Amino acid sequence: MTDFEAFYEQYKNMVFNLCLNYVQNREDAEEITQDVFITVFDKLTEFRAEAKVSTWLYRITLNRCIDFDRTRKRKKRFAFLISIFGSKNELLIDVPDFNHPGVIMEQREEMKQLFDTLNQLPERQKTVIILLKIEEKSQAETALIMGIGIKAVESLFQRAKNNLSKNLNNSEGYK
Amino acid sequence: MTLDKFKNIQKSEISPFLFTRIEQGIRNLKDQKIPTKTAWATVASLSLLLLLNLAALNSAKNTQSDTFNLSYTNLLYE
Repeated sequence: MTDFEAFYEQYKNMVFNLCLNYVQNREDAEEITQDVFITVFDKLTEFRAEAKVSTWLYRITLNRCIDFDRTRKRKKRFAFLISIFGSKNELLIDVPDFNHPGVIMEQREEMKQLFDTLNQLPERQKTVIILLKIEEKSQAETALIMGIGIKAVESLFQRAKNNLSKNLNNSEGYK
Repeated sequence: MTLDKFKNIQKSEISPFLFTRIEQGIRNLKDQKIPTKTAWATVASLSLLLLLNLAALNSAKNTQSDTFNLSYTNLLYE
């Protein structure tokens, strides 16, 4: 077993689960995980020993997830424009289904709604909720991963929590 | 509370075949990369070619008119 393979074995599930919580689709999460480990192999020499490997890996993974999310949103907007101005009324780009293997069947609908609301939050607010509440990181670890102070993490979390409950109430009100 | 529902999410296992795909991706990355020595050699060759061209242009300036005793004005009976 090579050093890189041992490294992959140690961190594969950590990276994959973070991706899964961010994009909520198994195929997309695997694609991002693959991309993360190729980047890691390429940038291994740039890693500075003063940071923890897991923190560094979390940062790379989050950046990849954010890029992926932005591309997906851009595609969605493009598909929307095409559907307005296009001649045929068909959806040209598939929006991926909610396919989170960590969510049990009985809670699928409820969790889908929760994740849909989470996806409407600004990137940093969404990230802070994923790190604190799903990955169960401490505020200090979250601050290190996001490259901000602990106070900023606290205020981001408060805003995220308020926006999430406001959006959830709104979506329940429409039902 | 709503956020506590996230605690019910279980950890998932990654596909066992992903590492093969990653290895293939790394191989492709290596193939795509131009070696540093080749890149520097190309830059040096192009710079040398440019300098030689500039030098040749400078040395060739106005030599044609001197060689053939051409008049610099268009007045015939000066």
